[in-house]
Amino acid sequence: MQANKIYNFIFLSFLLTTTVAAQDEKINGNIALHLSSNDSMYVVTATVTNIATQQPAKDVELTFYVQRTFGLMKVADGTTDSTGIITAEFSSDIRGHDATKNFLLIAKVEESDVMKDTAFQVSIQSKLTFPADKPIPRSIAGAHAPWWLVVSFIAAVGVVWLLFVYVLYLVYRIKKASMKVIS
Amino acid sequence: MACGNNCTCNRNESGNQDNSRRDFLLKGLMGGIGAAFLSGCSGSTSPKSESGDKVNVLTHDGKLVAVDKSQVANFKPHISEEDVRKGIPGKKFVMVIDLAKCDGCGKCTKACNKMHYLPSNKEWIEVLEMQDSPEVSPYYFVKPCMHCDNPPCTKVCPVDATFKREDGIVAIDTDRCIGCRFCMAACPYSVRLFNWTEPVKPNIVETTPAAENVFQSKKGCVEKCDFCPHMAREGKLPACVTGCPMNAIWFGDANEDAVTCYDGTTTKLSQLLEDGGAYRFMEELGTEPRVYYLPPVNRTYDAKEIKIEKEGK
Amino acid sequence: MEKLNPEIKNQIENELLSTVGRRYRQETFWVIFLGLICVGGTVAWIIQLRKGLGVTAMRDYVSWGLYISLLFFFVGVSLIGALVSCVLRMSGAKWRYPLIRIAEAVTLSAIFFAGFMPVLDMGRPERLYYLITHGRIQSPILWDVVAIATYFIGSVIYFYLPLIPDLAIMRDKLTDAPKWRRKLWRWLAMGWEDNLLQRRLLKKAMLILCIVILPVAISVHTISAWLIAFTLRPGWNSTIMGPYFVFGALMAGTAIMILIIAKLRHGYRLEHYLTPKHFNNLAKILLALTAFYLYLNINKYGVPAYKMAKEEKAVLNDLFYGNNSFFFWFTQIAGLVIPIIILSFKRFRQSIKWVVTASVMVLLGALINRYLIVVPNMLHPFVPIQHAQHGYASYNPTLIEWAITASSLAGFVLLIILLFKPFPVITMWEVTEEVEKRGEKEIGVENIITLQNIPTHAS
Repeated sequence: MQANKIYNFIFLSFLLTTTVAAQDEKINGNIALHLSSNDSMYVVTATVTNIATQQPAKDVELTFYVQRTFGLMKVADGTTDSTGIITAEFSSDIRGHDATKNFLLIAKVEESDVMKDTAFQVSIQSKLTFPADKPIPRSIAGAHAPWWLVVSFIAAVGVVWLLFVYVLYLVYRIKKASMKVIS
Repeated sequence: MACGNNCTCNRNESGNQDNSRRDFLLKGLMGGIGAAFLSGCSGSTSPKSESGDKVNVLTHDGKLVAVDKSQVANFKPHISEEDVRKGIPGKKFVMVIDLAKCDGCGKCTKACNKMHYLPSNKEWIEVLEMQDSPEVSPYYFVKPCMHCDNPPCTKVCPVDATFKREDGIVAIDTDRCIGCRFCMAACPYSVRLFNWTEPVKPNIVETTPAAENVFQSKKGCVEKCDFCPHMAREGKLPACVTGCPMNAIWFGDANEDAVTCYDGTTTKLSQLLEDGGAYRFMEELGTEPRVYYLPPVNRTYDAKEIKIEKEGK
Repeated sequence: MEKLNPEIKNQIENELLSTVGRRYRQETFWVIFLGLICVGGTVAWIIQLRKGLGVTAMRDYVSWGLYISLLFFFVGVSLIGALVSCVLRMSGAKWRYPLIRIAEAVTLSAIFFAGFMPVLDMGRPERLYYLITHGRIQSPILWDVVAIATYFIGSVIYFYLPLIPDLAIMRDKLTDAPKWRRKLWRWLAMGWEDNLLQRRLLKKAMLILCIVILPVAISVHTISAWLIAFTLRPGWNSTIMGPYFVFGALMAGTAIMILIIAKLRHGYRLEHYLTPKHFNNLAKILLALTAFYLYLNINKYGVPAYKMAKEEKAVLNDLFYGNNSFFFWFTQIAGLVIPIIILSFKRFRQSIKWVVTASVMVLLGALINRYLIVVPNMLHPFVPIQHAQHGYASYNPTLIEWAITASSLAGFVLLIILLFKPFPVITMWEVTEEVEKRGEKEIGVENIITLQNIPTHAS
């Protein structure tokens, strides 16, 4: 990993587009995700603001997940302080979702007393290499036979069958030999 | 997902056709996000005679069209034979079974049988009672197909009917299987089953290649646990995992280093294996199974109640 | 040795040709009897094809049963041709000459049924051609198919080559045979006129084939052994399987050979050609093979029994004291130890009756042994058998299976008889030639050149 990339900086935020019927007790919130990383950890900073008032929302419980094929993997959680900010750290040994090495980090508000359920996500490029798609090699267990097996198989069977053909050729010569008077 | 067309469809007649409805949904869903769409593009041959049944199909430009059911049945599978033999790109499926949590309820087997329309006497995933030696405590042992990386079964198959896919799954193509049963003899885990007689067919139509069918039983062919690739294509867990209320079975993608269990908890695979002291069943055979076991320590059930069946009769 | 009197030679040929197309009452009875068994087996097979393999007692644990046991038996028996025509040839045993065609007929029939057994065992026989269209050469089944096909073709050629001069004799002598037969003989005899070049070419062809056929024969049976040795099952996962099968096969083949020549000797009145010398020599070979097979058995069962590893233990206990112990000890004691004792005595070896008795015991032991190699191992897999449905954790062959098995064995014998019918059983030209060269004693024939002893019933 190059030094200048260690502190690479990703800032992405997505606006909540769903319009949920207003409920008096709970606010609609917006989450801005700010991600940085050091050697072994990702540091995610989430800033939660009330959409209506544009004020920081405090005491919101946030859970951070990484999107995996079959579910969301929880990596960190926390509660916003009075400035509406959570800083959480999680290990950076997280693999990408596919060969692009990207994975989705999702910040979720679930059953919070303050805010309505919502989720924001950010796409992160993993520092770990994604295992390359390896075709099944030519092998005994695979669909295609190893070359040495093909060669030895064909050679063994071929030699035998060629000798059979030669023997039949000798029989043919026996037939030919009947025309000549030799003895 | 080749064509990316979305489609929704409903049968427009009422009746007891729950199954047929499901077929169509299956077909649509099994193509991934896509994509049943109308003839022309499908390139399928031999149109069946008009059955008179009409179904509504939502085309990709948003129109609802009523078409004859026979035309729908002719949709070409969106997963080609080649796709099925190659596997789901970028995935390496893996299963972790936590023997400490398994209480032997057998719900995984039931869920699996339901998913694959198996009769109760067939078990793709089996729950055995094991006791390694007389003094040690017995435990329940869940045995799906190990989907070995060095599979003894695919080695011996004479016609490439059972094969290893790039996503780790060992699948069976029942359109290819000649029924020699060499794979059954070769499998040290006894997971393979044979259709000795004509199986009872459910009322479903499947258009994927045989190796990813939900219902795989075919007379004179071998079948076994397939890790539910049709579910995995949709990002869904296999039937046994979603059927295990004890959260004993984890399933996931080793490339992503994550596994998920029944309640949706997703955890890092490497961490789970490390913390749990995972092992693979009969590692010494060198088959390199894709199923890991967490040893039955600190069990959540009473081990004394397990009764071990004596071998044979 | 001086040349044979042409008249005597003529007499010998007439005598040997007398069996061609001739009807024997006992033989006719056997042909009908065996034919009926085959019809029964065919009916059973049709039922099996229609209903699926569910009509057999094979189930998921014992997924191979009598059919595969029989495959191993037939492949094994087919080795006798290679033993007589190659091994004995290379060891310079001159007494083999009268036996060559009989051995090749047994081989042909056995390898034909060996090729047939896997088809009987297949769940989807209609997909047999997939082996060609989708064949995977990593699979021992494909090797087996190729090897069996190769050995079959090789055996047909080997059956045919020594037949050429005999066909020429038939063409020249049996002039009153039906026209189509004479036409066929003329065509098959390849214009044989016994000139030097033809003789040289024939000898060369036979030598080449003799050298090629031996590795083919050994590979056929070794590959069959690999079908089970390539699996990770306790009891099968063993390196001894190849040689174990090959020598077991040579032993069973020799036993069958002895039984067949014992039958032919009286049935076809060949007492002068198949003599006690042949029985004595074959008995010696059988003695050596049974003793060696006992040695291999001690290795196969004794070595794991000393260690008693967990998985092997279940199989071995089953064989030593369990359900199969009677069969196991029968194969070891009645099938090996007692025949060895019988054959060890010169007096018994020289008595055809005793040699035949020993052969019957060896053959029975060999047949049961094939079953013991296949079935008990399948009942003791690594993963314990639990919650098995009724009939899954045991193997008691059904009537259908027995019918098909019986008819395969019947068909094997029937095919041998049918192969003896259109041709002389003894290779006429070679026997007369060798008698000229080396005398009767070395070839093992008796009194064939003493004119007055020959009962003539030439047609």
